Amino acid sequence: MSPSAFCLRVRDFRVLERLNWNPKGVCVLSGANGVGKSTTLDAFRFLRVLFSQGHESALGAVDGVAFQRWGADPDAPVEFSVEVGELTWTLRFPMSARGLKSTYGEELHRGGEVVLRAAMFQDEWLLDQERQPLDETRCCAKVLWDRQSPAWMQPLVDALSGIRIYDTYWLDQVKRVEPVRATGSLLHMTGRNLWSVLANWKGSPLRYHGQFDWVMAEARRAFPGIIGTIEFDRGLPYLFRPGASDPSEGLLPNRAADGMLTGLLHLTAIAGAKEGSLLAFDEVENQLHPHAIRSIIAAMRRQADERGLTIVLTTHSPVVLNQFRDEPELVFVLGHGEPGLKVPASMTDLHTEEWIAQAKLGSLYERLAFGAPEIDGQDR
Amino acid sequence: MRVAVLPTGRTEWHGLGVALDRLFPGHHFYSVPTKAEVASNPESFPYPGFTGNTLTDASERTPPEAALELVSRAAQEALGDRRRRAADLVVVVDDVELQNAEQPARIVSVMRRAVEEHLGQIHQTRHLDKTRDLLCAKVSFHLIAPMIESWFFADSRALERAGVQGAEHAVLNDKTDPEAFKTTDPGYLAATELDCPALAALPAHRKKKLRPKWLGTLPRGRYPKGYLQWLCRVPADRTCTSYSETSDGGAALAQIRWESLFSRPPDHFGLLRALVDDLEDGLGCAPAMGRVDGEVSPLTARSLAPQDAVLRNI
Repeated sequence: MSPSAFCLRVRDFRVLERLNWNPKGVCVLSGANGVGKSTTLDAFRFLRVLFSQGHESALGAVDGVAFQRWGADPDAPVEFSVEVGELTWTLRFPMSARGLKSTYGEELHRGGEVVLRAAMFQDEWLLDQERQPLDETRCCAKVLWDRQSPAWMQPLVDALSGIRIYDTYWLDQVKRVEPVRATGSLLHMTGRNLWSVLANWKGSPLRYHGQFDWVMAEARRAFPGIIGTIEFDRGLPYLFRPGASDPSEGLLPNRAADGMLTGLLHLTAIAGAKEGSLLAFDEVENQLHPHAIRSIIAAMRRQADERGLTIVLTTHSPVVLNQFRDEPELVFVLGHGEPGLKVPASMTDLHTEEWIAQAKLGSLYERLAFGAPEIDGQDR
Repeated sequence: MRVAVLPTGRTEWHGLGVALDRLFPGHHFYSVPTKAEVASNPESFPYPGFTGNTLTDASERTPPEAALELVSRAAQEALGDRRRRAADLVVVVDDVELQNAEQPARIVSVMRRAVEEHLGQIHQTRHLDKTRDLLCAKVSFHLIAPMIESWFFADSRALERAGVQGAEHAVLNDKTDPEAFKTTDPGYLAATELDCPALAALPAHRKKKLRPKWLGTLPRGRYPKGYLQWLCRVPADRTCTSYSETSDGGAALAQIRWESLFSRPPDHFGLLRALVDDLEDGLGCAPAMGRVDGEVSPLTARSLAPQDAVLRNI
């Protein structure tokens, strides 16, 4: 799947009045506090869980209170739409302050033709003009996929199931000293199964295409002198500095630096991502030294190029933004309030390229040239 | 026309644009950074200068980051953007400072190098060509020697606004160019920390931040800001002075009487005359008080700019 084919549209979801976004490559989502960066990631998460587990789990996954934008027309639904290639999947949620008012609406279009349609407040849906009873848990698209698995639907299913949102790692669990079983193949969104995944990858390098070695090579670049390799002994991970050979020099995770663990988590998430999938890291810079930030973003770019990944980074870090000096079109800004522009707007839609070329993006962000809170005196 | 003034001092940020508005009525001078930037980061404005330390050969090889930042911002003001109207002219103003009083030519050389370095960082040829042309057409670099307070010593009313009592006695005589400021006031030259009892009573670590400039290590007699602080001294105050660069200095500069400055002998204020000469050329009109005669400094004069100038005047 070409990652550029993925388009997300949102209307009246929390602080987002309208969002129309086609993320691509390794890109940044920036903006002042409270403009909807994390909400955008929640929209991705919501759609993934909705498709795989149904709407109740999806609402739970994004803490479904205050779902509708404050100030929105109470009779208007909260709307989500995903476009992948020729497919458009649209969802409409009639919401009240107490939650979902009734059944939600759903449509799947293929090349402009309606494949399925469920109207809000109805107990039935139409599949190719035939009436079907609503499923208790699953959305209609999932019912269709489970029944028929039509090949034309594969890109949408891959796009949705490939979404991985990493916003809060549970470092206390990662640092816990307890034996793990080498069973994980994909990093959990809390990162809690980091050691299980790495042990599994290390034990089966052919099956997992050398993912462990890639993570270690990139970790050595990002944290020079700190990490050489990881060995597993009776299920416990031991982290060794470069050149360390004495088993007693191995550090258990509870003594490892938080920043290094965060870097390992980022790298493991990337290495395990399926081809063509979308990953998002909320405030990717947290706990990382500028060198590690630069190194990990470079690693992300290499993987994105090789495996068609789309990697979304939300950030307030000038160091992260400076890595996009040569790709300002991949910096997207929320909360700019410019009529006629998409939300989020690309830096190159907001500003001319020659103006951007005069300064580091981090400097521009720091001096409120974009993605800034509203302060008096901003405009001349 | 709209002229962006990009100074490295708070006094200039508050007052220079207003003062130039009066000198060239009908044109609009505005200070950079914006008020919003200042509100967001009040401790770190305006843009830092690059002359606070003695510049060396190494500074000419690798220009200080502060110089690069000034060029970057000036280029953006000159270019404008979808959301910001381009300035018609941009004037970057830095102090010579006492640390570089003997080598103003080196300051200019470092700034030229910073422009070249900035251009070297722009990879796309079309952006590079446009930036180079705009910098040459719109952006100037000017110096104030040794610092903005020297201007006040040519205008008794400015000294009064800054808080000096008996200001007429403090104005420099015609033998001394304010840009080569020098005072022989014996009380000032002999003063010690004991003249500031409230400051003297503080523990050592607090004194460093509060002590007046004249108590530092720079040559006191040539230090107009130090002298101004001394003239405005308040022994019972921990800072030992009532002079504030932001409020008093800004107000004094905003209302400075240009005619007092330009009535000095023609070989005084060469750097200031170069600034006015450059603006006159750029705006296409003479100052409100008529053409300013006198000797312009060859270092920053628009009319004497080198063949390979990287900005309008250097």
